[in-house]
Amino acid sequence: MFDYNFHWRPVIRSLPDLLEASLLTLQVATLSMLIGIVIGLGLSVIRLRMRGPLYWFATAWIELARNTPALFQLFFFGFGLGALGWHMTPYMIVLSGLTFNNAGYLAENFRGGFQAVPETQMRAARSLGMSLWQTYTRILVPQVLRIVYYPMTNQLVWAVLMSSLGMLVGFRELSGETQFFASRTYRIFEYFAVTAVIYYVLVKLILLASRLLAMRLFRY
Amino acid sequence: MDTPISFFSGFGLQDVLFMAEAAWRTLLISLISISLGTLLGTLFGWMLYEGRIWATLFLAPILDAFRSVPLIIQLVLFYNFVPIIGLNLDAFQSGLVVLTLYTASLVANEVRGVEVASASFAGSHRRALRRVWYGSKGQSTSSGRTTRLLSPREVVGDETVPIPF
Repeated sequence: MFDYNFHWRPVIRSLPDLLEASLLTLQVATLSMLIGIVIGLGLSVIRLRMRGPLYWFATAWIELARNTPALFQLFFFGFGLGALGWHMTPYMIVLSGLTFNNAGYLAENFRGGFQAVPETQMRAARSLGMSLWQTYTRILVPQVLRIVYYPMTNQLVWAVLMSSLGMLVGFRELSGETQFFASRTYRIFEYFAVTAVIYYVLVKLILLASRLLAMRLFRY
Repeated sequence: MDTPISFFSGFGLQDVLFMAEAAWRTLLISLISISLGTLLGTLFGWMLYEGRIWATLFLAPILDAFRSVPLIIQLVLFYNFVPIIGLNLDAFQSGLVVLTLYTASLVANEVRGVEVASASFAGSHRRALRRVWYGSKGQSTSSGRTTRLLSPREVVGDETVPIPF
């Protein structure tokens, strides 16, 4: 038992590459969150205010995003659309898959946020002469974003963790880079152990940043 | 002349059977890991709430790590770690262990949250256990008196629940 020799030297040698790849992980997760927030807001408003084809479109999006595995969604954008002749780069596959997933989850968060804002706010804003667009962008959405701030942080953490599935569609973010190096050196355990630590630190940094931002944003 | 052989076939009944078998394995691993994970998580959550120093120092960071590292990394890591310590687990068993621990870490956090919430509503942890958790069953207290389930007003009081920020 335990006649395994750990070799950390190749891992340490490729640490700069792994850290650079972790920036790519952060980038794709953040971008997918930003686009996801915009789409999610749209989906939740459609679900709350509209009926007809748009309502069914938004419902289908949310249900599919929340009830199918993120890996399946990535494969759909990679191999599914690829089979139909629409080929995307691995970066775009992960970005679109994560955005689709984030938008679905965030839409439900936003729905809760919109329902938490009293209906009278809308009536008050409209009676002051604001247009519907002004009411949403200046009155409702700022309050909703404040209410769902912490769920959004959770979603960002989720996006960072889910971006690791990119390695299965050939994307060289942190996990993909780790798999690349592990398959070249056969030090699978060592590489993935270090990657796990990097992910842990990334998540803690995100949580710390979100707390600092919250202290600044929600100061009275 | 030989007829050309094709290695590709359309989607057939046999494929559906293979997929059904895989779906069964998905259900099975989920059922077992969620059941075991819930039991373990309840235990861990209780240990965290009780706040012994070793639980806070050792258990909390380990459970936190399960929630902060992608599941796929945990699976690869554990699957490659098992042979190192001389065990022989197949992919299903490895997955089962990882998913159980992952579920346990999530459940532990929930259980600790429920304990904190019920204790803060009921005044103390002991009262929470006695009145909020077991209260509906009308169990006897140590003094022999039978408790009743507190009404929400009695538990919460007249204070409104503060908004987090």
